[in-house]
Amino acid sequence: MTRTFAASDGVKIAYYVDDFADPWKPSRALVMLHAAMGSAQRFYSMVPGLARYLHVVRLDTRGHGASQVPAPDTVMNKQRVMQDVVEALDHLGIDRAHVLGASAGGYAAQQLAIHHPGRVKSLMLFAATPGFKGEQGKRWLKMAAEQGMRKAFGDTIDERFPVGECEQGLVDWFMDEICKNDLAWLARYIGYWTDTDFMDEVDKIRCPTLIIRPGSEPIGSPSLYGEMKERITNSELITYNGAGHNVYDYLPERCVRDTLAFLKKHFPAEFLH
Amino acid sequence: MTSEATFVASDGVRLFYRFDDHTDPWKDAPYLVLVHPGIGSSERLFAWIPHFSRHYRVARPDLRGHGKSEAGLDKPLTHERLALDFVELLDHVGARKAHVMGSSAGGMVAMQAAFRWPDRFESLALYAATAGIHPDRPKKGNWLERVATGGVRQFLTETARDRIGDASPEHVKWYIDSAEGVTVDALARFVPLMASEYYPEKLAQFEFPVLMAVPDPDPMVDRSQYDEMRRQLKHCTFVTIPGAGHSMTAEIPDRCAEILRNFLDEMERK
Repeated sequence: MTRTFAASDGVKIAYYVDDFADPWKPSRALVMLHAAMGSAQRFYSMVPGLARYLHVVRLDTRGHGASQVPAPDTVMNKQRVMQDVVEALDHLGIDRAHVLGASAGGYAAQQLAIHHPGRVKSLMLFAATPGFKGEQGKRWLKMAAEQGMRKAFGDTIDERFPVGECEQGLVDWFMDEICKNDLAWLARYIGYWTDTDFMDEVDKIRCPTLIIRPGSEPIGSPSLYGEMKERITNSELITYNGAGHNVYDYLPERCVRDTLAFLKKHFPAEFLH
Repeated sequence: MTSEATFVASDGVRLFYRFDDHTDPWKDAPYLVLVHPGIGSSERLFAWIPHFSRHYRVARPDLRGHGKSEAGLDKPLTHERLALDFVELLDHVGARKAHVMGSSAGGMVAMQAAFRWPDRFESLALYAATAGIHPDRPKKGNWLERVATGGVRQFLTETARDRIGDASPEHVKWYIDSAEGVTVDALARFVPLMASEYYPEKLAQFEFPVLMAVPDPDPMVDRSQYDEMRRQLKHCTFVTIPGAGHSMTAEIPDRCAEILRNFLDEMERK
């Protein structure tokens, strides 16, 4: 069931809760933030592996999934998408949460850890660097505007999935899902990130941080992951050798395994279960 | 995420169920129905979901008179009626066939449905479920009198140890809370109905694979009753769980779910 709340600028934000943890034990919240052009639904394959231990909250980023597409005159920046997560936590009465972000969802997650360190217990970043500054995203948006989304992202699908190695059904479904997006909003949302690099802010992240680098990362600059590892004091970097960008879509079991191992290592008292 | 929904049974009673599905959206995934024990609700089986929802569409009904389902006290309560509730749920969620797990009296409801509509069953898993309540059992325990005088909560509190063993006090409190919605009036019909027929020999008609998981020993059931069922079944996988309570599906759900997962995986391999 989709639930919603109104963000402070009036935009309706949708969220979903999966919780199969023992209700008589203290609740441990995990917030999952999806990639650009995605939705909370895209995390479906990771949820069962996590929700026996965690109160899993998945947000639909503004303008995505069942969340409202903001009007053209609204503000779109990193503060706004971070603020949506803060307001979701407030709405749900969650003081502190583990936060998992995939790609652009990881940009918002890092912003939250930088500016509201008291709300973030740990960060798990899958294929998420500090922003997406550069020409690549601008090229996608130009291609999508000229040729349609299916053509633009179909032609670049091998940046995301090892086509032929992973299930074709997943790739087709992924294409169908991203084509549901409002292209004008994507131009604003992705467009903003293509002008944004906040590497100089990540030094402020103090919580335990897991950085997952797709080994064959073709999206953004692969060297950024090493720099993140250097700058974020309490971080660890795992490389998925040979993997494409969308590891959180096509390697869900591995992502779950690494997430749980990381949480158990850093929060043994919480995860004795 | 868990959907909560209702549908109206063919006799007009509104029935509640929970539904979880984390299967690949482009695939036609099989269905699994989990049926809670008497004096319980679908909440009792929450911990089973993450073990199955990645590969199965999982429905958890509240039996009529339990949880958030109406009791329909003005309508006749029969085995036929409870079996209909079950297949009407399958119809409602669009499941032509399903794997089914029934816990204790939930297993009795599932068996009664399987006698009538065997082709709707891919398999049946019975956890501490006998073929009807043996006529001596509720009489010996004065169940209905005790429920009528002390109420459902007190009855469960008094019998908790046999049901969920050495669980923590918080776990026991949750166990009792999750029977919320069960009334004395509904039980006064449900329990005698479950005890109205004792039918191990009818299990011989099941052609689909059956898993029997039984506590060893079951503090509430004589082992000979389970052994008789096992003898009757054509395709039976029999698993004993040392030290488990009668309500083991809520006491040690992960262990119980793992046993069902192994059974279903084995079926899939064949």
